[in-house]
Amino acid sequence: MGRRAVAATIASVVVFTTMLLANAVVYSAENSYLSATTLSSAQLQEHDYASVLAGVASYSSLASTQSILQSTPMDCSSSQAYLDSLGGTQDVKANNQSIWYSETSSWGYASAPVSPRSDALLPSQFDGYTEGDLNLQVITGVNETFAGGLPSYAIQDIEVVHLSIQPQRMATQCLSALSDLRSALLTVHSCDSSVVIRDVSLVQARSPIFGSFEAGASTSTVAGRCTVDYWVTTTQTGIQGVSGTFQWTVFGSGSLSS
Amino acid sequence: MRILDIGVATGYALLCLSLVSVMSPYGAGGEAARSTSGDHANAAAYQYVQTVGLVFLGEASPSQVCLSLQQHGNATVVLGGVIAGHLCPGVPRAFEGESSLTFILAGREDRIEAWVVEP
Repeated sequence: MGRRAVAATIASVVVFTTMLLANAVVYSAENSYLSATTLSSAQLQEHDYASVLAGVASYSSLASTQSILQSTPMDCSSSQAYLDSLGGTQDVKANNQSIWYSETSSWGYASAPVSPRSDALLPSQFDGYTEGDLNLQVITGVNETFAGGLPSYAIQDIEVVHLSIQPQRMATQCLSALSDLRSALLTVHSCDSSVVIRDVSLVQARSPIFGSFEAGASTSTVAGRCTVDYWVTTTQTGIQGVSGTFQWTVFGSGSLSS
Repeated sequence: MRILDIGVATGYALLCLSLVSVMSPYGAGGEAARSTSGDHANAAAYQYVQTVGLVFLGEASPSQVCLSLQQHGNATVVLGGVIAGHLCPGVPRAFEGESSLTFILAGREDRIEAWVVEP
């Protein structure tokens, strides 16, 4: 009877130990699966959010440029400096759900064709490089961590976006009109303002170079010397930007003394 | 001797059963399912931003964005958010997974939220 009891006890220990070990194996496997799922989920979130941050950086570059174009006319005699001044930077450190991130972006005028990846979050009218348009190259660096730890994710994204204005063509046309106007005014030997303005109107009417540019002039006499100030200007309206439509002015000016 | 034997066996069995209940694999399975639902919600929120685009989100009024969020939801995914501090209606009481995307556009903070619910 005693042997039976011992045998039953040993059998019970073996059965329960086996059950415990089997459960531990399943438990460990489930935990590994959970860890892998959580890691994968966090990586997906980081990847998607980095794309949103890169898109927002491109959007911000367009909005900032649109604001400068609207408020600051371009002097065609210094168009390159004007285009260089459109560049900007943006630094953001924040968190979204459990993703902690830092984002640094910089953008500037892209004069030469570049073919980086396109932005899925911007419509085609702003996305990519378009020959002759105002193209901006946007470089965005994103560093993300999940709740300050792993998994971490980092990308360096380069995108090109554009606004539908033609700064180089407008600068060339402006300089040509200005040169044409100067040549015409050199032949005017009067300091009478009304005579000069009439001649300017005649030049503008007969020369196709002016295109959409309006020309103007004024005269002044100081210490017996006649000075003629002249200018050309044009304003494009209804340009489509990311923050609605806007207008942009291009001008050029010069003076003659005799 | 027999009583001691039964006592030891019973004690060991109880110890094993309590360990099995503590190390239940079902909890981890549930967590994994919630994580998968969170992935679906994340994909839905990102898909929405991709579909409407940042220009729309930057230009539209909060009520327009809220309406758009409602329209892009379906039987299993509810979309909502907080647009410039304006809470869009339709937050579900119960859900299996959730996700949100927060960003600043044109000086305005938008949070797009997605919830995976039972159909």
